Amino acid sequence: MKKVDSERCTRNRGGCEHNGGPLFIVHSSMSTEVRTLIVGYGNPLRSDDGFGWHAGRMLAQALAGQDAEVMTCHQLTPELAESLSQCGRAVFIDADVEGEPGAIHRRSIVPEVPPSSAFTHTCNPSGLLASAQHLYGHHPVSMAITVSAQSFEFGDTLSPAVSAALPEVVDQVCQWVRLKEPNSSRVESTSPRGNPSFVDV
Amino acid sequence: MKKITIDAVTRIEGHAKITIQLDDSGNVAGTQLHITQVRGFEKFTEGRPYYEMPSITARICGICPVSHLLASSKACDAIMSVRIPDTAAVLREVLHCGQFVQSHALSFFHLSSPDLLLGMDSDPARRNVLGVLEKFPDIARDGIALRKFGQQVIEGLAKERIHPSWTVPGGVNAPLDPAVRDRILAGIPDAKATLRRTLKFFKGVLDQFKEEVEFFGNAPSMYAGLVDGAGKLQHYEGGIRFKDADGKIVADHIAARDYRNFIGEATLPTSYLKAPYYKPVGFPDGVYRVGPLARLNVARSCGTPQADAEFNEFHQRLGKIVPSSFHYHYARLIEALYGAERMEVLLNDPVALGKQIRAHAGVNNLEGVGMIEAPRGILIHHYKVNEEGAITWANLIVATGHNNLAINRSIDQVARHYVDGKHLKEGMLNRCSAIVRAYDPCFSCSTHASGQVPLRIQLLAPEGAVLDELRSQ
Repeated sequence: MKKVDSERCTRNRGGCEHNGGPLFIVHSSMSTEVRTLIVGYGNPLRSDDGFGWHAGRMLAQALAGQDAEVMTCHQLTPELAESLSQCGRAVFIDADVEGEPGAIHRRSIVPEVPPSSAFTHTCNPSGLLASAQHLYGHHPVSMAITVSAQSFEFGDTLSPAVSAALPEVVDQVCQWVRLKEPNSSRVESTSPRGNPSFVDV
Repeated sequence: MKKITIDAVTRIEGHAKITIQLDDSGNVAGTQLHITQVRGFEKFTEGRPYYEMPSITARICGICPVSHLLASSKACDAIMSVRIPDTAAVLREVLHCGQFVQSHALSFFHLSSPDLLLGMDSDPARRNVLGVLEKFPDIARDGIALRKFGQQVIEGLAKERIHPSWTVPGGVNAPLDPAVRDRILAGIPDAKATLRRTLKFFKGVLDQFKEEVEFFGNAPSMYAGLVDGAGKLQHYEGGIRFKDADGKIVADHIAARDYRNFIGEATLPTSYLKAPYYKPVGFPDGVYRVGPLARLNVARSCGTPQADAEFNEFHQRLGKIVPSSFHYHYARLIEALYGAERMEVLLNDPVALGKQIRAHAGVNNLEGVGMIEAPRGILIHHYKVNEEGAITWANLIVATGHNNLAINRSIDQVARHYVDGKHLKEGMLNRCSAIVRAYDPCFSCSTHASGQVPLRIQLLAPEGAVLDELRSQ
């Protein structure tokens, strides 16, 4: 695994910081055809909102030697569109405000122009894919994986329920990254106690 | 009397609201800008070791942490009473140039270009950066590339794009990797080309905004900015030059330690944002502007060839003193070009690769002031410490604060010209926000106390009459 090279990292306002959690590049070359881009985002100083950062660190280790890049940031911003346009697949990892704490949700992401955004510092994954396609002519096959949070209070550690979901999320992302032809066309939800349920879309 | 509230002002850094009072005929009777945050850094840093201040105060903002890092580090240099190594000074300035490029790109392309490209009266649902992406993809790509370049400069030097800890009291904590220097240098030609292209575009559309130029903060004020001994634009070093509305220099080369002789600080009852003023004139008449427009108004030249060519054209077209705040956009693009050129000069100096990067010392002064030009204007960090180096008092004057009075007056001018309370249209109110955006304020940065935090609580009757009022003493 290589430690981050800044060329591959796109962040935002509001303060994307490493915060002791570096960005990672796990592919061995600096080619522009990174196969998978994994984006963990949220506020790492707001407990479970930092789930994407925690998952990103674990994935950087788990995917060492794979053709994948992991980046972490506070928010999704328009600059990410360029990076997305340069990869074949993308995974967005975030905390979810709804659901039973620790529940894992997985859904495919397709390009979709958002209806409006008065606050322009932040974007959503589908809007970013639309921007990547529109500006650079390509968007990756993408999925979002989120975990229902228990706490957004000040703190840099995860709640027990959300922490317990980390290994499963890492495993799911690794499996998806390693698939030759990923099937992104369904929504999956896993309760905190296992028993995944799948919803075709 | 009726009141219109714009809450929140969008496409700015931080949070603000505007209130517009209408008289019975629907005409604007008055306006106010309210900054609704309070930060408190001056208070909660008391007792902290001075050398922690750069890292702590960088957290004031996620957009311009580099500015706070640099101003704070310079204040700490003064407390240590050291002259930092030449290499450290060069590297700090390169970092600063990277910030200017990314911050000015953010302001122009992401925040203000929707008004300029899509129109002040266009559909507000699409009048944002995403609307620009759809309709003007070439310009959007330029904006993304330029901001990314500036961010890469910061991250290449400081290893972190936001809140880096590389700038420290006495210098910087790591030398420049030659490979990073070469990578930055390789990106500069594209950055300059992008900025020249954007300037050409912007100059081409200026005539579409004649009315905005006329009424967007187009009023006399003083101007303040840092210049070197020859009067050239400075972002990292230099002293303050004040010019009056006619372009006459009224104070020059004011050192950081002397700022209090020239800058007073007032509080407003309706805002957490304090209001600095030019002390010899007094409050509130001593209003002055800072930032890109002010800097180009006070400087004799930029000092780099392409920026100077644009600087000369700017003044040939618009006059020796350019009073309209709409032209902050134009000035911002020239400054970004200067940032890219200046960066190139600094990185081509062999000193940039030196290994002597930090001076070490303890507390040699019980007081230190650091001053730089942040992208939005002059930034001052002033600390007092005890003999152990613990902070006993701190004062921050942030760029947006300097512009507080000018922004308020500009909103008033725009509202009185455009807002018709009986035939209200969204575009009228958007212009009240657009004039705020022209200053590129960073309100999350700017709310720092001066004395008692202003507080006013009013009890209003249903028809708006004030029944009771409580004010902080």
